[in-house]
Order: sequence, then C-alpha cells, then structure tokens
Amino acid sequence: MSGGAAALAGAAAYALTLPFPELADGHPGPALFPRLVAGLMVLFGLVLAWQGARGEPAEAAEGGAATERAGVLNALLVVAAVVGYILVVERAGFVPTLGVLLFALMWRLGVRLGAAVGLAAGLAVGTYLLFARVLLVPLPRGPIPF
Amino acid sequence: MIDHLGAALLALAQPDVLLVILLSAVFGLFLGAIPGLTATMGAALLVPFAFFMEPLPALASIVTMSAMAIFAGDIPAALVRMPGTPSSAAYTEDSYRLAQKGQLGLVLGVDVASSVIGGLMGAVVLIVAAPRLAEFALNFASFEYFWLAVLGLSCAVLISPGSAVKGLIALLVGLLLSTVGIDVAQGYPRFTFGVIDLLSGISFIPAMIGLFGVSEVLRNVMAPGRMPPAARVPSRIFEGVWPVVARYRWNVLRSGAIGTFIGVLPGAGADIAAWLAYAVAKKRSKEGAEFGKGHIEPIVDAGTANNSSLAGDWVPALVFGIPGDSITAVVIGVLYMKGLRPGPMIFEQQPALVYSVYATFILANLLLIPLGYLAIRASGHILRVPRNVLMPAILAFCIVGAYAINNSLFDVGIMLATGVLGYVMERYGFPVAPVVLGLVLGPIVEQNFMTSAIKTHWDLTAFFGRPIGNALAAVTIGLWLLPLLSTLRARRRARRAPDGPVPSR
Repeated sequence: MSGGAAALAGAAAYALTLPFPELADGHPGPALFPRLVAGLMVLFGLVLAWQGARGEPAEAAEGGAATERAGVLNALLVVAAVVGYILVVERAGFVPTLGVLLFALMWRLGVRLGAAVGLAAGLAVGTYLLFARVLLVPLPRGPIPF
Repeated sequence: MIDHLGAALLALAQPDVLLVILLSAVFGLFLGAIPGLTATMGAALLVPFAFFMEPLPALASIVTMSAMAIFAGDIPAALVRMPGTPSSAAYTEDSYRLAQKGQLGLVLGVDVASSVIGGLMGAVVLIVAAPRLAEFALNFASFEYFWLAVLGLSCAVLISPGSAVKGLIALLVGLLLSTVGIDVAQGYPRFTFGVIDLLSGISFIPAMIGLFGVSEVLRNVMAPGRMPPAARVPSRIFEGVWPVVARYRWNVLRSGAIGTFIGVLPGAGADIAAWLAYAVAKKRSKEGAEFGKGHIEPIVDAGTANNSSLAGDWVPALVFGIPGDSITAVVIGVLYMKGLRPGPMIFEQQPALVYSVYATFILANLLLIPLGYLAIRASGHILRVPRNVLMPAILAFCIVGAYAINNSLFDVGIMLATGVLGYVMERYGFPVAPVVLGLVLGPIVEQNFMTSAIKTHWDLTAFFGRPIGNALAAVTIGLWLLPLLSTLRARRRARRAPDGPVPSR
C-alpha cells in the first residue's frame, strides 16, 4: 500500500511539472530535476508495491496494525492544537494561547486537573520569559503585551 | 596547529561560553537518557538558541549536546532495555542482560570509557584530516560538487537501515520537497500554488523540527506507555572498566576507525556506525555467538564507534558543506544562519572558529567523564519524568523554535505538515533521515548540475572530463552497481546449491 501511495504522489508531482517552461535554448530548465525525482518516485513506488504483492518483508509496517483509538485522538488533538495556535496566537497573545494548548494536551494525556493548570501556566510563562526576554525573539503579541 | 588549538581553548574558557557548554551538556544528557528523544531532535531544538548566540557558543552547544546525548542513550539501554537514542540500539540487549546479571556498574562504566575514547579518536581525525581535505577541495568546481552530492545521496540510501527501496523513496521525498520555490535556472516558481511564503522554498529548520520533533511527539502520544521500573544504579561505576578496555584495546581502535570513517561518509551517522562496528566485532570475535546474550565486547565496539562518528560527521560538513549525518545537517543550517558558508574557504576565513570546534570536541569528551558519572547517578530520576508532561512541553519548544527562525507562523505550519509526514512515513517503515538529506543535498545537486550544464552548453561528457570528478563518479556508479552485483552473486550461489541449508540472517 505504501508503495502505491508513493507512486501516486510521484505521478501527481510529475503532472504538476507539465506547465513548467523550457530554457530559452530549448533545453529542460525548471522541470528537469522535479520530473526526474517524481519519475523515480513512481518507479520505486511501483517496485515497493511489487515487493509487497510478492509478500517480501519490505512492506511490513513498523508500527503494527492495531493502534488504539485513544492514541489516534491524542495525535489528532496535537495537530488541532498546533493549527489552533497558528490561527489564534496573533489575536490572543502568546502566553494565553500556549497556556491553553499545553493545558489541553496535558489534561487529555492524563495529568491531574490542578497539576495541568499549574504546569501549563508555568511552562507558558517560562517559555515566554526565556524566548522573549532572554533571547529577544519577537513572539506574536495579542491585545496584551505577552 | 598547537598554537591555534591553544587559542581556541582560551576562547572556550570565557565564562559565557563555558556556561553554554555546561547547559548544552545537561540538555544532551537529559535528551539522550529519555528514550524517544534523539540527538538530532536536540540539535534542531538548539537552533533557536543558536540564532541569538555568537557563532562559537552556537556551534559549541551542538557539539557538546550531541556528544553527551549519544553517550546518555546507553543509560536507559542498560537500565530498562530501551535505547535512549537509535545509536545505542545495536548493543541494548547485551547491556541490559549484563545489567540483569549484576554487572550494571561495569556496563555503564564501559559506556563512559568507550564513548570518551571514541569521541577523542574522532576528534583527532577531524583535526588532522579536515584541513588537508579542505586544501584538496579548493580545486573542486561545480562538476566535483555535483558528483560529491550525488555520492552523498547514494550513501544515504545504501547504508540506511531496513529496506533500501524505502530509504530511496524517503530520499526522493526530500529531494522533491527541496524543489519547492523559485528555481535556480530561470527563477520560475515551482509547486508554490500561489502561496508567497513558499517562493523561497520550504524552510529547512522548521521542516527538520517537524520531521524529528513533532513526529516523535505524535508517536509518543499515539502509544503512551509507562516506562518499566529502572534497575538500581550501584555506587561503584568505574570499577573493573580499565581491564576491560585494555583487553579489548584493538577492538577500540578498530571500532573508532570504523565509526570515524562512517561519520566522514556523507549521510551516515552514529547509529549506522554502531551497527557496523557491532557486525564487524561479531564476525571477528571468538565469542561472536555470545553477542546479544549479554557480552561486554560489543558494548566496547559499538559504544566507541557511535561517539567517534560524531566528529567524523563534521569533516564533510565543514569541508564541502555536505552533511555527514542529520545533526551536521542542522549545523550547516546554523552556519548559513550566521552568514558563514561551509566549504574549503571556511578554514582560511574562519580558522579561529574551526579550531574552536576541534577544541570543543576535546573538551566535551573530557567533560563526559564527570558529567557522565553524574548523569548515571541521576538516571533513575531522569527516567521518571512523566511523558504526559514532557511531550506537550517538547511540542511547545518545537512551535517556538520553528517560529523563531523567520518570525513566521507559516513556518509553524511547515513544521506541523512535515511532522505529520515524518510520523506517517515512520509508521510505514520509511526512515526519516534521508528526507532531511534530500532537503539539504537537493539544491546542491541541482544547482551544480545546472551551472555545469549551462556552462558547457549541455555537453554532458564534461561531467567525466576532470580527474577528481571522474574518481568521484566512478565511486558513485560503483555504489549503484553494488546491490545489483550482490543480488546476482546471491542468485548464482542459490542456483549452485539449491538444496543447501537456508542461511541464517
């Protein structure tokens, strides 16, 4: 399956290179390298799929098939938390956004409510002080200065 | 040279530099001792700090952190049978079984000793070989750089553990990602989909933080397991270590040489060095059959090799700007960030900085003795840090780190996307390190190919017209033919002995 996915991704990338222009002297320019790479991806994706179809061990997934639902939800929450951070941080400010992100993740991962609140607040403020005050990174600012 | 090294040691003796070294050492020991957190991830997390430091402490922090982390990976291997970093995986079984037999103190002591000796051996090779190679590399033109980068790509695939096809596909993913943005030949925007932030390409550091940091966070929260209880660390750690090292002195030398050589090869790092040294030791030892059942010899061998490869990795990174492993891929990013261009000229333009890197390797490896001892004593506590607190904290550092490079939230998005990509790839058995090498080497290959081709009016025979270039081309093409030849030989052998016993693997 992973071989087929790689071949498909390669084919899609190849298709996207079709409108790329040639050099003025007629030689391939911007398209050459991506087409070569995408073409090789299709080729070796098919090789991998063929190995998988023949039952060679190369196709064995490392993580095993049975991943618990709770784990998937945890991972989705991590992704959602980062997306949420990107969308909200410039409106709400760094410390509140990161604090909420840390609290949500810790609570979901089983840290007790009180500890999660304390640790999230401490870590968010600590990260702010370290990066914004010591290292002088201009962290995103919201309506409040931090 | 001695004068330069002395001056470099003096430069390192500044209180602020020493403080950075000490803090990065503690950071490295902590990261290495926690299974799942790697030295590469540490290097990526150090980048935002490096951004605000002078070049010397910035590079010193990465050198120190990596030396400490690769050693510290041995501690949980012996205590709880989980390698702290992939570089300790080769001898985890031996370490743990010996520990169970009551020899934990000896195992950890040998871990420290072999790491220090290996690290110092690698440093000596770096100090001696890098400047000479740099003089040689001054003659390189775009043709040689093209072949060198292709050689690096080929090594990365051939030596990557597991399926070679999967390693190759991972590399192609990295190469494809490296083509995003304005192209070198014509300034045409490729794969940008009208997004202005993508015109300058996929930022390397956020991608790296995503591939190594966020993917690890995702993997950990997907399967939140509890750490098994750690064995008690005995108070006497270094007792009996010296006789073991003296007995296996030739192993130490051989594995130090193997590790350094693997390090110098572009794209191959400490984990491959450890596996290779282990395999060679097993083949050469009279007691090879006992390896994996609790033997000290493979611990000496692989423990020396992984630390010696670290300095070796810096050779191609400094001399050619081609990363020796994924840690030095970050180093190259940091050098560019500081306005320094890795390559042969860095030895003439920045001799003080280069010598400081050498001196840091020596200092970090010597510091490993007292700090390694303290880390072993503290290891029980380090291993008790709850993951459900650690993972959100690491994610927070990843977010801030990815943002701090360009002050761009778009880069945080790149970090997330590459993190998910890295997680999915690892789940299906694709290694992630080749993606990073593809990202770094892709532009070097394309730029040097295009420059050479346009320079020679597309006369591709010019790629085979210079002696050094020819030698590099021959080695590269030889490497490509290697798997083909070994398959053919295996088939011939199988045909000759159709009813023979199945060879054990």
